[in-house]
Amino acid sequence: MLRRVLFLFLVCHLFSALVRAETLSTSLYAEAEQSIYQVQVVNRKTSNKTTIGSGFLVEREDILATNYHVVSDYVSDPGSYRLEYLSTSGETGELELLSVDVLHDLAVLRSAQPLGRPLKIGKLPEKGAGLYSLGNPLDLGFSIVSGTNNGILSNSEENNILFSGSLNPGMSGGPTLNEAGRVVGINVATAGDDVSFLVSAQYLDILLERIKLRSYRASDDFHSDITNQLSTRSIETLKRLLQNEWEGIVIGRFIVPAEMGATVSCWDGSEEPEERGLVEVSAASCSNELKIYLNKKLSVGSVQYQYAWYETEKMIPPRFYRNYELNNNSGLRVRSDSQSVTPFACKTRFVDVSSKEFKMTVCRRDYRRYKGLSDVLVTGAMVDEPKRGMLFDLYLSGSDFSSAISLLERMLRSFKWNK
Amino acid sequence: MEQIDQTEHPAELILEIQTRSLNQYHRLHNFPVRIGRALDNDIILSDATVSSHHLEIDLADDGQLVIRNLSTENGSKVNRQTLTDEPLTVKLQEQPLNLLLGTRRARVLRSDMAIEKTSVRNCTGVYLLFCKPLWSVALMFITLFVFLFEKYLETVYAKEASYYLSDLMPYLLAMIVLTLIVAGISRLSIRRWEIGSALSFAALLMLGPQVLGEIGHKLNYLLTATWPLDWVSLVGDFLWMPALLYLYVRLVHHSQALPAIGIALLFSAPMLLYQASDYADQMAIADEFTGEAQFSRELSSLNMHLAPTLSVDEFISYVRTELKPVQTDAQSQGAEQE
Repeated sequence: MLRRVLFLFLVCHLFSALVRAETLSTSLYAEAEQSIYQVQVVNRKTSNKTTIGSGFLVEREDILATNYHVVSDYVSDPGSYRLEYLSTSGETGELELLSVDVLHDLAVLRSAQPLGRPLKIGKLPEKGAGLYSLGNPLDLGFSIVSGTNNGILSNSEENNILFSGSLNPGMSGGPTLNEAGRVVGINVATAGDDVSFLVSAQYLDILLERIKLRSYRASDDFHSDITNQLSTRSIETLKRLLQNEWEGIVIGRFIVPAEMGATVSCWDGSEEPEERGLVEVSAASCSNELKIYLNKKLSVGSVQYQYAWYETEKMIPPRFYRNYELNNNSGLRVRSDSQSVTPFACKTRFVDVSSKEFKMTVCRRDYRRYKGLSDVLVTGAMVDEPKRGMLFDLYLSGSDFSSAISLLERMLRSFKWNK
Repeated sequence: MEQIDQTEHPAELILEIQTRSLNQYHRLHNFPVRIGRALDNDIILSDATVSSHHLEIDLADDGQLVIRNLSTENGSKVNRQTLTDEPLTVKLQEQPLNLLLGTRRARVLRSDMAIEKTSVRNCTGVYLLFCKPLWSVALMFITLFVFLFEKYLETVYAKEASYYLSDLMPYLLAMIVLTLIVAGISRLSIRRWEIGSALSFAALLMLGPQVLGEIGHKLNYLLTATWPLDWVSLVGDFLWMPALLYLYVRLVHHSQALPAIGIALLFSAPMLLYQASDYADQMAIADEFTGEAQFSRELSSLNMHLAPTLSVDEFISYVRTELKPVQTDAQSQGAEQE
């Protein structure tokens, strides 16, 4: 009997919470309806849209915020595209791009005339609080999605907010509001199944401050802005990694650097011994799991490194080395296109690393548009042990070359051979 | 008069009918001599393009030859000149007289004409590999062993002996087929079996690219470069087969150097064209921008290399000075975009 009562009470309580949430999201939507827009990238030749996203008025009646990735086609080729808005009431008009922040995937646009009521930036509520995300999913119509704040992801370089709610394509660039109707984040990405990510609104605040200092004039050169943002980030990130204490892990007879900081995570890559296998493999791979979106073909910012130890008892050295050589092919995804980067230039030398000899190659390719940024690929293979091998790969995309080499130097010095 | 006769006809006249490998020779005694396919001729020539009565050769009193075409079908030529109904009177000098009966070649020679030097079977140096049956068998076993070892090296898992044996069989089969083809062609051409030489040829043909590939790989490692293997492969793919054919033809068919080169190139042509088309494909692929890094990936358990081993310090400063920024047209492109 008691159990039934409790159950009833619970149901009533849940019901009332649902009603409250519903009325809140209804009023939030009604309030924000005048502030949210669809942002379109339109092909100048055909006047058809090629990319859609969402955007919202902020700070001023003519200033719209959205994601950089929504407008990236326009940034790459402003001659072929133009930017337009579509309001909830169906009005359209042209937009001018003022500034971008590729590190936090933000862009700020201006309309020639006032559009509506700007939203205000607010504070992120505590973990577990309700958040309301607005946008135009899949071009189906303006929608509101409720979800939960799960805090800032401190172990990633982007410092995004984890939003447990369902974001869909087309909602990118839309605002996420707290219960007071203030913007706390900008919709940016989803991993599916209610795992979504928001850009923290504080970065929009910083970008708006910078634009205000320029008296709301559009940037003179987006490419040099982006290049500066990326190279400053690369130099600072690598400097921070170099200042950190590094953990070491044992790979075969070596102790090698593992996590260089909170933003890097390592996974084991060892292979299960096979029934007729003759080589034992232990391996690990580490990455900062970062992709700064630049355009459809280009994302940068990753730092990846991996180690693999090969050892055999039953193979003669030439046979072991044949197999070892086949594995000397990092398997890191370094594909790119000739318009974005130059071909790799490589230098190979034999290097004494912790008293063991490595055949070590450093390759570099430079970004054609973002001067000063390079992809750096390093591969090393231990060559002075007839029945043991150690492969080491390091890959940094969109990095400052000199900082990358400093990182390599410290890594090589951190290798310790364990007799 | 007799003396003059002697100087003009010091030797007998001989008709040489050219058939592959061994020619037919007929001494010409009783003039006129009639040649043709019919059985009532003085010299019977069973060639389908030869008429029943084709050509008549007579000796005039002044020692000149009188050649009369009898064929109304395919006709005759003397020294590339087509014979008409008129008989041709010609004086036989040092040079033989070239005849063409239908499509059959023949020559009128003087018995005192200088002949080519005897071709001595030259079994020295590299030819030893083709001459001595012992070498042929040894080469066969060496080749099979190399392929077996190669298979062993590239197998990652522990395997039974029968696995390697079954892998070896296709190579053995290929070698035997190749031997029989080469020996068969020689048999048809020179009427002799040269199985040993053909086996050496087949074994060396298969062994060469394998050994050259290994040498290229070791050179790549030795020099820390990627070009040696490319160049050595080029030799293996384009020069190895013609070179072997040249040696084989020189030794077995006793060809002169120039004809031997011609035969070697002719018979390697399909292989060379196949390799050329393969290279064309590879070049087309290489021209595609994949973004992959190209460098000396070779690893060798022997670890023999000429480049010195650097310290981490030296390596880092080497990389910093050697890997300079690539000049790009970024600025101009950026300007255009604006």
